[in-house]
Amino acid sequence: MRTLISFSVLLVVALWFVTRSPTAPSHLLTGQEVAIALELSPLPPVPPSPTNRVADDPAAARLGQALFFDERLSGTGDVSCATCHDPARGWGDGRRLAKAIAHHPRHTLTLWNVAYNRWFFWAGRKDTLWSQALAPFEDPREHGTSRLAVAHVVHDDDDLRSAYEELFGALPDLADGARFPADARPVAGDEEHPHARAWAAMEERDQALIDDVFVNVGKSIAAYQRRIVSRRAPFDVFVEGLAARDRDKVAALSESAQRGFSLFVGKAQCLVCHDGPNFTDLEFHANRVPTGEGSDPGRPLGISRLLEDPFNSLSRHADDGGEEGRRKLALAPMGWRTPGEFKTPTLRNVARTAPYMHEGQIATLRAVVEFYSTLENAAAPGEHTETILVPLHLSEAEVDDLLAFLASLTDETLDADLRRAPASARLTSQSN
Amino acid sequence: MLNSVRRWTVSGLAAAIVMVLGACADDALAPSEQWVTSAAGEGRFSVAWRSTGMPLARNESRDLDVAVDLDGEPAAGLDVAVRGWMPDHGHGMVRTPPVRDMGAGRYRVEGLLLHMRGRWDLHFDLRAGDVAETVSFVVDL
Repeated sequence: MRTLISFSVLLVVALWFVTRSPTAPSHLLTGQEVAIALELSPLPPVPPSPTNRVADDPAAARLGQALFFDERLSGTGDVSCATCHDPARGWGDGRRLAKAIAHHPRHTLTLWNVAYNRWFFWAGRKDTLWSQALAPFEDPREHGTSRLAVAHVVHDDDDLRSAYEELFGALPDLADGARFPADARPVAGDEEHPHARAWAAMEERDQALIDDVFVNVGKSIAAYQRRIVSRRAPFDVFVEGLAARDRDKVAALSESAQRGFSLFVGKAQCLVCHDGPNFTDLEFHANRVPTGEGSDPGRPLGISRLLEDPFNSLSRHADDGGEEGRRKLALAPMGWRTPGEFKTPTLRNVARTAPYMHEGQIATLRAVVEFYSTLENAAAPGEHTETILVPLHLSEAEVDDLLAFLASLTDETLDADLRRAPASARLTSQSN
Repeated sequence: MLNSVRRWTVSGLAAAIVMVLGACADDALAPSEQWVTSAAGEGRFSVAWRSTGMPLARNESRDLDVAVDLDGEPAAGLDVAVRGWMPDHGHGMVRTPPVRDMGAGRYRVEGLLLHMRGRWDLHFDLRAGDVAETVSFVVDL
């Protein structure tokens, strides 16, 4: 009897050690799943941006922040970058399709962790963050303004002008209206547009001066956007716990969310595209989400527009002499591509950035998971669609677990001063 | 056809399982931890390759050093192309990296990007005049 009691005590102690053992901080995950979790967190530092010499200059970030919230940088005087990329709406707009001056055929992408991207916009028609920032200014559906008008706003505002000139040197004297009209820009396919005619009437060297100002505006905005980073969600705390064998940190993820993680990397196959610490493979896929209106070619169109872009990373505006462009852009068009491919978005803060997909055609995250579970109403597979995309047949409980995991990627903590227009575009000890 | 299967550790992150589908001749280079080599087979070409600088890694651009032998001798002046294919996904790479002839049977693949987790078939298409073969490897990332 004594032996039996002793054995029982030993068994209980052993079980206690096993369950409390630092080598098994999560009893729900396999060793392979733990290894994958350790690959997915922490998010590394924001990658360098060699094409933008002011990418990590705090003064440029401050100027960029002022420009980001400045509604004067629009044809109607009431649209800023923050109109669609609202800090209070997950740096999106909560709409199905974007709308600034007019409706846009695509959904607004979040700016969370945007600096980690390899390509920009849904079809990757931009290859740097700073050149991405330029496109909406001259889109009549978005800011509806022109590069000349943008330059004039910077030139005519003492605060913006001082901040700009401290960073980039003297602005050209734009007071001469004959050389620098109030509104001018190239207009693709419409040479008779008043902006296009005004642009064509300018001297080539003056066009180049304005392009330089315009690009510097974009590089400043990019410097600001590089600070919009989400990196310490409950999932990250959980992974810290796995690495340090800290059960308190492991408890940051509920059992349901842990089961959801197992599904994410296993049966549900989310990891196939949403891989890496920013939960995206940075590339493009045809995921068979039904297209709402018309047919959007996606990536093939993005590539052709990127190659024609005068502000791409092979242009004279790239501060690395085109080195990154030769790597990225020169090789891009030769690869495997098919219509209907769109960029894999990050899943960080995904629970706060509804609706979803390139046309915002799926309203809720639950509906997204259910789409992949059933592929109901999926678009017909293309020639090179992902053949691994098959119905997952998830149970209701599994859907709930996956949603619990996706919610654990939420971290919206960000310095409140970065969420609003600064008091000044200049970074001084007095300004906030 | 499957002539042989070898397992190589390419990096701490990934292991490469090497299957030679059509290769021949002895290795051009002495096998090392860094070089992945085709085995002697039925074809006339043999290939050895390694990632330069950094180990091969998922979704990170890498250059490859490639050494090609034809009938046991370093083969210069070949037409060389490299293709990646994910048989489980039904698609390939997002870009086609150029291949530069470095002379003396050495070639440089510039900007190879295997962007997804899983099995990749890495095909080296080789042509010397009328002799054309494909030497293939499986890389599991």
